Amino acid sequence: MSHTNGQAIISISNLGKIYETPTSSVHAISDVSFDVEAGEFVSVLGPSGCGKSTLMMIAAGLRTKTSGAIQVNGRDVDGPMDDIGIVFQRDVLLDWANVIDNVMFSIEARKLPTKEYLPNAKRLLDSVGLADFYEARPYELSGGMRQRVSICRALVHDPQLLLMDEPFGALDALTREQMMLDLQSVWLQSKKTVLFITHSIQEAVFLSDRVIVMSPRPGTIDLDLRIDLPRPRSLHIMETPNFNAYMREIRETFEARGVITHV
Amino acid sequence: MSNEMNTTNKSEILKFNSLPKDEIRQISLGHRIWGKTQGFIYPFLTLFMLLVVTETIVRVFHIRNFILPAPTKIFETLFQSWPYLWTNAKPTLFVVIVGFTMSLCTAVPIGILIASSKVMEKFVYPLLVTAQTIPKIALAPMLIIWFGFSMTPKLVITVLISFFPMVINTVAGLKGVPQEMLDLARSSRASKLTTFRKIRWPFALPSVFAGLKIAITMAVIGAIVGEYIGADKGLGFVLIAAAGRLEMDLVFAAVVILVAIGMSSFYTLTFIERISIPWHESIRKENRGH
Ligand SMILES: Nc1ncnc2c1ncn2[C@@H]1O[C@H](COP(=O)(O)OP(=O)(O)O)[C@@H](O)[C@H]1O
Ligand SMILES: [Mg+2]
Repeated sequence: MSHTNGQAIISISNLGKIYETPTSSVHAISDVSFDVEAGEFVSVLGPSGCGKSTLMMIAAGLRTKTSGAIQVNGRDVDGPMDDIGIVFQRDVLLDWANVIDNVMFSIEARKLPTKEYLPNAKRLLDSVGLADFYEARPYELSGGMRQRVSICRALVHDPQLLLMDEPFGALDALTREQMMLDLQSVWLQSKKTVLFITHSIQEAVFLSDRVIVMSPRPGTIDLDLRIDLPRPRSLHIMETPNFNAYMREIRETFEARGVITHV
Repeated sequence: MSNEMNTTNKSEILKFNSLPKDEIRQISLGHRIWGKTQGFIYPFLTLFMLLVVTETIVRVFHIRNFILPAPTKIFETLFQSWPYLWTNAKPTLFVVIVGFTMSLCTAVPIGILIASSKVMEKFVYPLLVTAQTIPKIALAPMLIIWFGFSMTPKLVITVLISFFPMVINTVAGLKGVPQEMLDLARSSRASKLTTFRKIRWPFALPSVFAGLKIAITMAVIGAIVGEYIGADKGLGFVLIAAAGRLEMDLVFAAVVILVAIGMSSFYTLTFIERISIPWHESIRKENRGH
């Protein structure tokens, strides 16, 4: 599948979601509209509980919307689709399977030819430094290594679109910076479209072509900011005035919304 | 396909990854052997002490055999009456094994059915949970009336009594699969069968095994109760008969065999569990040897 630049891979308009539970109804997101173009790296940034995961799950076809419209690859989303890779907030590795089988789950489940994709799985694992760990069980790995496996699993069937829900949220600061660099290089080489959910301003600015800032619940879009920084970005870019100007703009948006307050 | 990453900035990960994994494994193997030895020696020491104390008390106070037989007397009887005991152990063992297997072969499929069908869950599961509270032993006299003094009532009680822990643990295990794992399966377009084979069943296995281990001890109780009510052979029959004749050494000898049956079936299951779910927390903890 090939997409020309400028074509919307994800197209969201006036999307809303209300969770109905027996005891209450939670208005998770409200009136969210934006497009993600082919090859773009877009972050959705917002405070905890503002509906980021909800948004991603609807885009993945795993949750239903309450109102509005959402299209992926030009088709209305009404269930899980091929050609998407998902990295969940928790790594969701299967303890009973070794690393390579965890990655190959994507292939088996989709009934793709295992033989053809096995080299791909190995290449991906090698590229994230897990060459010696094909046979290891998930519980033998560190948090960072586990999340790397889950990223490989999301990529192994070579999807056009990658959805990632706070993949580095549970990692320590150092591992996280390494993962940011790794993800950037995967993305630069593969030119996949990425929708990246995060609550870290720094992570969003560093990785993204665009950062979409959401308000507290019910989540709406407060800011849609294009990040014009050269690639590949090194960690030192975080010390530059331009980077900090973007950080400040986002922070001010949060302050204006009362997400961050000063005493 | 162009998923390859460049290999710059990998030095840190590589350093981290080159941790000597084999060494870790070896240490844990050593721990495992030590852990097992420890696990066996200590309770046996306690048991030995208790036997010595009992023996002393019986001898010093001249306690009579029909009240409390000396441990040495029990073991003597165990050896002397071995042919008689073994003849009677066989039908009990048969009921335990066949009853447990029959129960297993119905309980687990029914558990799977309940966990995968909303209709079954709504219409059948509540009944099963309620039926669990019926004291199965209370049904024994009725079963004798229905099935006579054959092997059948013993099997029925054994099946009934070991059935519920297995169904309930199977259902609980299958229902406990985290939503995220099901989301993973769904987003990968996994079929129901693949989801079951690769996710739901392996996830449920630890719980299923917990059910089996409860059920096997229940099965031994079921077999004995069945034989209490009406039998002309089996260890339950030996217990009743020997107690009637005040042959307490024979009673205790039969109990020793029952304990052996219970323990060997329990540890057989534990062994199968170990090789089936080596990845599970409980097994890993044991292997680390605490
Ligand atoms: N399945 C659900 N049922 C009811 N409420 C939910 C459910 N999932 C999420 N919510 C609620 O919706 C809101 C947004 O949740 P979520 O999308 O997980 O936020 P975020 O990922 O930004 O932290 C939260 O208030 C949460 O409690
Ligand atoms: Mg979330």
